[in-house]
Amino acid sequence: MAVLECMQLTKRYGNITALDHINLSLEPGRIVGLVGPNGSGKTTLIKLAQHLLTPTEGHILIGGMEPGARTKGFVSYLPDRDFLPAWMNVESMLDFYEDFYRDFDAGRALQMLQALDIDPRMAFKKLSKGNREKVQLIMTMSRNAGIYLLDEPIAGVDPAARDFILRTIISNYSENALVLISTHLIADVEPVLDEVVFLKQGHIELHENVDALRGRTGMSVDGYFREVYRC
Amino acid sequence: MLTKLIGYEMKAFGRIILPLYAATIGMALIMGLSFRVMNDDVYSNLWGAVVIMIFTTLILATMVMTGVLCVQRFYRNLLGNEGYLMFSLPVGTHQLILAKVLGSLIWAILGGVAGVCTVLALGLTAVPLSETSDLFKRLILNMRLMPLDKILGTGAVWLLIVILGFVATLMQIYASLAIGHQWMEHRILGSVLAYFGINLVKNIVGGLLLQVGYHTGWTSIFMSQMERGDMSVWQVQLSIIVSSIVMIAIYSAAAWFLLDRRINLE
Repeated sequence: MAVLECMQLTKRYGNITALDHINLSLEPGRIVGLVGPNGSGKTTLIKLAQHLLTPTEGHILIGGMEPGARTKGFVSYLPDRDFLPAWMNVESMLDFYEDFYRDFDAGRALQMLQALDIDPRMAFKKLSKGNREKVQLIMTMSRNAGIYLLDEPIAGVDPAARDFILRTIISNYSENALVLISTHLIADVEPVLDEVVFLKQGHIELHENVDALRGRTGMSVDGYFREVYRC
Repeated sequence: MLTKLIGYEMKAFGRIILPLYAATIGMALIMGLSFRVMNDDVYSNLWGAVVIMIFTTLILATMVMTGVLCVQRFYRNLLGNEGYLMFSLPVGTHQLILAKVLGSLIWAILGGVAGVCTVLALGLTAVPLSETSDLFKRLILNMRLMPLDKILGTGAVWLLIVILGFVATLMQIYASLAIGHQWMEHRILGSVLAYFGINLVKNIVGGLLLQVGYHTGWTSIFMSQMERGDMSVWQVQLSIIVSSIVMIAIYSAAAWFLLDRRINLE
């Protein structure tokens, strides 16, 4: 049964159509890459799934429900920017997550922080950009969520940090969960993907199993992406 | 969940406001002691002026900072980048708004309590203890002679009016911020214009209601009462309370709709 379902989903910002009547069905237990160039509608789709936007037309269902307070209880979301309060330290952030999310595993988060040598007493604003991104990812992946929505988790970080981020995603998501990773850095995420969704100008260009795509086209996902989106 | 949200509001305010309260009360103690031991010479006068200046600045800073935080906590925490965190919590939008209002209200009340503590700190240190105890004895004696139940009753109604006025003002600001946030750019300018726009609409609607009242005759009852000077206080109080509640309901509905159905974080 699909845990994320879009039916004729449309989102317009004034005259600009970000998503145009898309239909999509994603099953649990899969790592899905949501790929496409900037402005193709990736972030809009994720925001709609998290009720940070409302559809202009059509529907999006999360676990069979319209996105809202209930679905946020089992959806773990990583936005594409610094979203943790700068004045709080990492320790108080752990308390905050523990207070609001029943599925948050503080022990797991602490272990990852220790492995990275990040002092939990340190204020969030005093961390380097790379460490801030890692802390945010640790918070997101330390939830035993049913769905993980990761918006550009590896954009703007160095290759070593990318490896850490991908390792963290692979080793921490629940096996029955859906992981949706939005990115335009396909080569980096390709090894971890089960499925891929290509978005182009608000339309779904392709939704396919990664192995099937490679077999059909004789190309890597990254290679095929470059072919589809050639300027 | 609402209590947890309010708890975080208390922390966010407290880390800035509590040191200001402590500094103000501490300065009141220093000022009181200084007044008690000061002589009438140049150095004492200079010291007194400096102490009064710092004390006044601290009081003003505390009041301004409380007001700024009431607005800033809503703007930054819900409409800024932190909004991605707050709107991802498994809580309703109404709880997020309510937590901001109640958090601000609690800190406004605590500001009043801190003000009383400051006055007490100043009074107890500036005036010799024997005189202070005499003052308190007289105060208690006078209070016993007063109709306390009536005074407390009237005080409670006026306190309710002040609280409703505070909440209505705050909700008008929150609704304005939510309206301004609908703009793709210059959102602060949009919020300021929305605030003045709401005031304009309020005045126009108020004027129209008066016109309707004038033509239907019900304002003439009030006017004649006012002219005769026998309009009772409770009528005035009731009209303020009702209008405040109506305003709060309208602003809350607008803020909820815009944040729940039209939110578009940058």
